[in-house]
Amino acid sequence: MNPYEVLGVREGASKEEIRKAYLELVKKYHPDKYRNNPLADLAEEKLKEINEAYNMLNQGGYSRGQSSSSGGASYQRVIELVERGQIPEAERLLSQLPSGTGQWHFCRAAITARLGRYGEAQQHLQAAMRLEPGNPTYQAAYQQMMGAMNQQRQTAFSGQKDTDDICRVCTALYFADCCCECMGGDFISCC
Amino acid sequence: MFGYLRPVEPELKIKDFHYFRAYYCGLCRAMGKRLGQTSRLTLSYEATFLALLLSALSDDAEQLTVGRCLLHPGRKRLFLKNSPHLDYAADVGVLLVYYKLLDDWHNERAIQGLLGVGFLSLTKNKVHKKRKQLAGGIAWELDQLQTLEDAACPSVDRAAEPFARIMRELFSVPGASEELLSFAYELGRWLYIVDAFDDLEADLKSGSYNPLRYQFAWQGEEASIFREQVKPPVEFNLYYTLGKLQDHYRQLPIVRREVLDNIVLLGLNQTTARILAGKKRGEDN
Repeated sequence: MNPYEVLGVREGASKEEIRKAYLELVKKYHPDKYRNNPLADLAEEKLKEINEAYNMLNQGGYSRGQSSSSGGASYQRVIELVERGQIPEAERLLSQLPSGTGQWHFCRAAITARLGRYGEAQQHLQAAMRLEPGNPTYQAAYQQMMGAMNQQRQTAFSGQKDTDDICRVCTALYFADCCCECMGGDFISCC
Repeated sequence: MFGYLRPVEPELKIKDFHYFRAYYCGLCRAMGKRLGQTSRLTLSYEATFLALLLSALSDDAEQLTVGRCLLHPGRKRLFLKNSPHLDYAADVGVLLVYYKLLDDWHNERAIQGLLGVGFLSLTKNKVHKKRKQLAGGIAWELDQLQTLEDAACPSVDRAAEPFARIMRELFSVPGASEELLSFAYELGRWLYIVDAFDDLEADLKSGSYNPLRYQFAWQGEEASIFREQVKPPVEFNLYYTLGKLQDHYRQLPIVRREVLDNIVLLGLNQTTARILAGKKRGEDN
C-alpha cells in the first residue's frame, strides 16, 4: 500500500497537508454516515486503510520497511486490542508501557469504558487532557462522552420521555468505539 | 438498594396504575402462598419490577382476578395470579432482602439487620432449596463485594461490579437475550452508585465503607461539603450509565410497555435528579 496514494496527496507533502487530507477522508467515510447503509462495510474497510496510511506517514516520515518500535506504536496496539474486545491482552500490554503519560491515561480510558467503568474512564480522559491540553483526539472523545451524558441529564430535568430516536443514535455511540475511531493517527502524531 | 426502582405514579394512567398494583399485590400474595407469611414482609418494588419485565418479555397470558387484601380490606383490587414470573420474583425478593440485612449487620452492626436475618432465615432456607444455583451465585458475588470493601476499594465503578453481576444473574432466565443481560448489568451499576451517593453523608459519619470516600480521598472535611465535591463525577457516571441502560431497554421486545416505560424512562431519570439534589422522596424537584 502506498500511503500517499490512499490519502490522495503528493509524495513528500507536508505534515499539515497530510493531516488535512486525512481529516477530510475520515469525515467522508465516517461510520455515522453509513448507518443502515449497505456500503457500511466498504466504508469501514476504507477508513481502516486511511488510518493505516496516516499512521505510516506519521511514524518517522515513512521510510519503507521502517517499523517503528516507539512508544506510540505500542499504545496504538493497546487501542487496537481494546477495539477487538481483547481486554486482558490490552491490559497486559499497557502494564508494560510507561504509565502516567497522556497516552497511557487515554488507553486506560478506552479499557475502562469497555469494561463499563464509565466513572474511571472519565477520570482517565480528564487526566490525559490535563497532561496534553492541546490534543484533539482526547478532546473529541471527552466531548462525545459528555454530550451523551448531558443529553441524558436534560431529559431527566425536562421530565420528558425521549422519543427522538435519531438524535439518540448520534449520541449513543459507545465511548470505546469513539476512542478507537477518533484515534487514527492523531494519537501518534502527538508523541 | 431498595426503593429506587418504582413508577412515577402521577404520570401513570389509572389503568396502568391498577395494572402495576396487580403485579405488586399479586407478588405479595404469591410470596405468602409459596413461602409463608413472613416472606411477604420482603415485598419490594425491585422484585415487582423483575416480574413485570420478565412477564412483558414472554408470551404468557396474564390471569387477573379481583379480590381483597387482608391489610387493606376496604376495597377490592386486582391481583395477578398463577404467574411463573411472580413465583420467581418472590424467591428473588426474599434473597435480596435477606442478603441486604446480612450485609447491614456485617458492615454497620445494625441490630435490625441481625433480627431480620434471624427472622427470615427459615424463609430463606426454603428459597435456597428451590434456587440453589441462584442463591449460590448471589452469595459468591456478595463475598466478592466484601473483599472489595475490606480492601477499601477506591473506585465506585469496581465496587459496583458484584452487584451489577447479581442483577445480570437475576435476569438470566432461559431465553434471556444479551440485550436484556446488558440492561440488567447497567441497572445494577446504576442502583449501586445511586445508593452509594445517597448514603455518602451517613457513611462518612458512621465510618461505614463507601467507595466514594476513597475514590475522592476524603480528608475529614464536612460531609455536606465533600458530597458537593464528588457530585459532578457521580452525576456524570449516573447519567452516562442511565443512557446505556435505556439504550438497551429500547431494544427489548416488550409487549406491555406502559408501566415499564414509566419506570425505566421516567422514574430512573427523576430518581437520579432527586438523589443528586439530596432530596428525599416526596420533596420533589
